[in-house]
Amino acid sequence: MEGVVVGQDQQQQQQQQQQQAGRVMVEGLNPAVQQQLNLESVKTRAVSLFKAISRILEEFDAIARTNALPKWQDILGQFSMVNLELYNIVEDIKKVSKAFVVHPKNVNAENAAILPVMLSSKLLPEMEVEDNVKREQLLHSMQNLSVASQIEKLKVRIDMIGAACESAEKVIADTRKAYFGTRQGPTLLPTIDKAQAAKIQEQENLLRTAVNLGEGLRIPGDQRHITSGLPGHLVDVLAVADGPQSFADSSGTYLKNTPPFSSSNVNSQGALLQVSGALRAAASPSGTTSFDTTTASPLQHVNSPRSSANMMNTPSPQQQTHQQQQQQQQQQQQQQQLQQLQQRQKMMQLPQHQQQLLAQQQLRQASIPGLGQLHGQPQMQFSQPLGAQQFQGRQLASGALHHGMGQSQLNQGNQLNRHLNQFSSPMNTALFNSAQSTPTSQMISNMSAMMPSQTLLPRMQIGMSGGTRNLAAANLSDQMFNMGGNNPGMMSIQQQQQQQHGTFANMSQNTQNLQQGMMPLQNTPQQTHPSFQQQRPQGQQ
Amino acid sequence: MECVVQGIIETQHVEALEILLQGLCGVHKQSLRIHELCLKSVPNLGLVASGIRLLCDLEQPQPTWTVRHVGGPMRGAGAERISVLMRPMVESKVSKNALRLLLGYKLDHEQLRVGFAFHFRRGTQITVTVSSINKILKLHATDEAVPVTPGIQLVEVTAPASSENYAEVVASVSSFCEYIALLGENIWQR
Repeated sequence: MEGVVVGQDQQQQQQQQQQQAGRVMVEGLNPAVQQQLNLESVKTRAVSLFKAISRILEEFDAIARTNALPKWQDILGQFSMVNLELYNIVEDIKKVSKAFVVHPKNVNAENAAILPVMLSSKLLPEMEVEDNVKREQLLHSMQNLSVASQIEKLKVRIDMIGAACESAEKVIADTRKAYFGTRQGPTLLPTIDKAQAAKIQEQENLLRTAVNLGEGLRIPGDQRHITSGLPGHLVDVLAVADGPQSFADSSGTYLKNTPPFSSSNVNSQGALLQVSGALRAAASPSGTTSFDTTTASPLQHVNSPRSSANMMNTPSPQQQTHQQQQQQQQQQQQQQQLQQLQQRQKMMQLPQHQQQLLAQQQLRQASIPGLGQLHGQPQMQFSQPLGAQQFQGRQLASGALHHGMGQSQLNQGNQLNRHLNQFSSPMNTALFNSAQSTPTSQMISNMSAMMPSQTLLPRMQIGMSGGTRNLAAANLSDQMFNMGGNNPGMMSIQQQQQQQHGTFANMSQNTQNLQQGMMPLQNTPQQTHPSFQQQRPQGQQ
Repeated sequence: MECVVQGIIETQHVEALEILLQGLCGVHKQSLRIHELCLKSVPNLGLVASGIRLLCDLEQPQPTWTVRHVGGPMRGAGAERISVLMRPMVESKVSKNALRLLLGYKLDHEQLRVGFAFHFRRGTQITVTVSSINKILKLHATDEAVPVTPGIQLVEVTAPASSENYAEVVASVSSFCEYIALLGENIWQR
């Protein structure tokens, strides 16, 4: 097989020589090699070897066909002759053709098929592409020049790189020697004097603190306003900031981009509200909403009890639209609301029967302002609608009271007012007079209730006029018990009650406090209800 | 975690250092222009104050945002033995809306970092950054930024590490820094 391959190779070479004889480039063998190789003789020997092998194969065919026993000795003899001949040919070729002939050493059935591919000197396609690309890169600038100059330039390049590497290595070696020799440590500053070194050190510290800690980079708060245009990458990021919750240390920086609030005068306060609402978010999520409602309500519902504070402050809130007052009112209302919330929460915590008791007391107080409370339990601040229905009847009366009495000092808290005795009878008469002047059904019933010597019927009406107050009926018996006595007796009882409970005093106190601010509302919940009574006449005025 | 060595270099030597680094690293430099916004948490929010950095890479055609949190340096006997700084660092790519979504953080300071960086492998992934830190005078006006220290630039060698393999990372970073320290004129500190 080897001989056959070699023979075919030589034949191909000879053919190539003949084919390319007319071309410029001759791919022939070197004449010296040709002489040494003695192609003709090798060819003859290869051909004879081929014939010998084919003869052996024919003999095997004949034996196989006739099924005769082969004569093994003869066949083995022929094989050994073939082997010897092949060996001689290969030896001759080896001497001269190491450069351009490759012959396999071990050929068997496995690799016989793949041998030609493996022996091929042509690159794989992808390897070839890579090779071409690299060659292209290398010779790109020099394609127009001749091959020799290209080679020259490449050589120069290689030399330069070699020189650079050598110098770099030299430098490394020198400094390493110096490092180990002098033991100076990694800092190598022989040429810088102390002053410069100090300056450099100072600058270095500045830079380090700037990078790591931000020293020297912070803009003071008052300068943190976006004056010039934003850079491109921040334009759409910062254009729409969501309220005060965006990162800003001053409310002014990003808030101007927020959607405007409903009214301008509420703007700053709205921010405050939201900020405080945000701060309180953990505590009471509904707190912010309640604040919002209060800010909107006072101007809308002039006659509602919620606006009582405003009316206390400004006798004619419709006329006055001063910002500060409104803000004060709103703030006060906020506080009031907060108190109400807290008190409501307290109320919720009480057991039910106590709540009913408290409601009863509140009813009682509403129905008998002149008599005060019979049970001195602390009066809770009941819900607004409850009170609203009850002090509608009080309004004119309290207005009359207001006119009738001078303003004494405000006594906040649950202090007793001894002067109440002086006021009680003129108060009642004043109430009676005013009641007669304005005959509304509720007024009449309420006025009559104030009279200590009233019959049962008006008192019943008191209870009914209050609305759905079944409790009032139950209370009337108590009230009647107290009202049944004479006036002096009444007064004595009242005095006793005054001594025991200061709630009756609150009535007069609040009559004096008509022009007061929110103080009674805030300090004593007991005073809130009577104060509500007194506000209506002012509104009507 | 990351392994950090910071140093400074005079601006006049930056070019030489660049050529040096190109030879050492074997890669080309990448230009750097990063707008760093350093945010601090508002008071009373959380147990301790915390800070994060928002980095906006302005070099790309579309700015890309990264959020990064850097912790305090590793301390203790192990830290004393090594010549580099190890500190915890967490980084993540984010969208541009990150600024809006970071409730509870307010802008503490911002800076603009301009320079170049080399990313290469030498036992571990190492990044060398040479940059000039610029301060931004008006809020967010990155076009009008002046260097904090005109004559000095910052050189940082960083490599990501974990608590298991930090010894190797430290070794490779230290050896690399030695090269630079010997060949250049800069001062190194932890």
